[in-house]
Amino acid sequence: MKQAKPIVVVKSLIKKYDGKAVVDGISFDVKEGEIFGILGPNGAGKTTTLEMLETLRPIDGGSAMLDGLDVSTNSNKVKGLIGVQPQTPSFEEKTKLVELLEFFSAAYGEKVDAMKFLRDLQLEDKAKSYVENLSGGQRQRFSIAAALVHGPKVFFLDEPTTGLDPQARRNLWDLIQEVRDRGVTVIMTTHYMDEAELLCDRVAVMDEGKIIALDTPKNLVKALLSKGFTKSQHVEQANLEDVFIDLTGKALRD
Amino acid sequence: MKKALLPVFTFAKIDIRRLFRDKLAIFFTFVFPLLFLFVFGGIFGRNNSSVSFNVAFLNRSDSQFAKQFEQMGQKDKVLKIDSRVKTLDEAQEKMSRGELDATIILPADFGQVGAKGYPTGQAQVLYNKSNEQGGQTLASILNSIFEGINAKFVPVEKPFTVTAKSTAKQGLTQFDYVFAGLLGFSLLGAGIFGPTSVFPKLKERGVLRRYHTTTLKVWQYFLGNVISNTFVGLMSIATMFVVGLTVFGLNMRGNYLVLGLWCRWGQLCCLV
Repeated sequence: MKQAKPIVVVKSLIKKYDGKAVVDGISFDVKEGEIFGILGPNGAGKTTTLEMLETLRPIDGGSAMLDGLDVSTNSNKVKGLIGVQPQTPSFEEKTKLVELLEFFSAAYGEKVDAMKFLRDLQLEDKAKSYVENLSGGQRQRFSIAAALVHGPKVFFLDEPTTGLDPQARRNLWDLIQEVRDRGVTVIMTTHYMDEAELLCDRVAVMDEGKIIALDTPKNLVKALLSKGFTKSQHVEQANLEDVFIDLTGKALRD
Repeated sequence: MKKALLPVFTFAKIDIRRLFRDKLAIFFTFVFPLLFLFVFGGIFGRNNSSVSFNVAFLNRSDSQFAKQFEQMGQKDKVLKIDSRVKTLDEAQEKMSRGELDATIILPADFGQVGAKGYPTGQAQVLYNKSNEQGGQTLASILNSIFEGINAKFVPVEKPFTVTAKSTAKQGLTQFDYVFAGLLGFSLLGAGIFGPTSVFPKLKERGVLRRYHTTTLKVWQYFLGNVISNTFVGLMSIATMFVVGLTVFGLNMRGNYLVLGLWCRWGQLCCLV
């Protein structure tokens, strides 16, 4: 990967609840155009870290800079530079997809061609459907469109594939890579290791509010192996997930 | 400024469309107030302005005058005579059940022509203690009828009289007051019950949080809501007015524009 300048710089970031640090002085930077993953078990502080960068939660200590702006003092400007995909995308009911896109673009003070966005996501035929009538995968894809409607520089995704079937997961992976290819920096949390390994250029592994490892997935594996780690090998050319996708088709359904 | 108002009007437009797609919202915004209007309009509507009495008429006299008086009573709009009642016992039972307001009794000597050459007699109005006001009113009405008859037999010039004259101004009916209350109820429904059920639901589902990740300001979202609620609220009130005016003969007083502004203000107060 070519050397790019950091677009997100986090230094000694702290978040406390009832005196207990749930994010405990973490530091990292994210380079422009990369997919950066934050991994960790439930309660590790992944979502809280993301929400502080998204300006949704106040920062209790340390600093976070996004495209040169201090997140804690320039929240409105930062909001204009980021797109946010929450874990469970929710929209108001009885609203057509095209209307929701019109509203989200208007929220940023812009008017966009909503149909073009839907066409790019293969949701053109659903333009007049209500969001509650979409499948889980379609809803996630639409939610991504709504988050990117204003052309953000940084895109945050919180466990985007949780609850999706294998086909929808793979479709979403393709979409996230397309977003990155358009020059948008992606920061995502996940607890699926296969997802992180496939998508992320670099990952930070968090536990109990701290970053315990940060590198590319390959380097992290190498570091483990260099310590003499071995596991019993049982290599198969395909697994049950591959069978499922082969039987039901990947591209057509989500 | 134009850029700042773009989300306001976009939201208001979408919010209005959304309401008309929601059957439950349509019911509570338009149908529910109309149901109340029909119920209370049926009770206090235009047919309740005249006063009438349900009475039994027991004529024990066989005089010509008593027969004519009975026929006159049957034609009178104030008296609704229950012709099925033939005895005093039946009349008293019906009065005790509230089915009759009073009983008019013409005694056997009522209407007999006396020595002076004209008929005389004393009618009796019987009423229950529980309906004293109705009985007294009926007695007064009969008294004025008899005064008119008496004047024909014994012409007397009255030194003092009373004349009633209309001010030519229409008064307000019971329905007009009820309608004002129903308007208030409808405004409460639109201003309080609507947003108080919608906003917590949106918050619970994370929709408001999602809006918070955008550059949308609270005032823009609020103003968009106010505009859409104003439009829908005024439509609901206009529907009530159309039904009130055409079906129940509502007497509208004052200026519709002022009324509209007051309604909007009331609804806004509820919303805030």
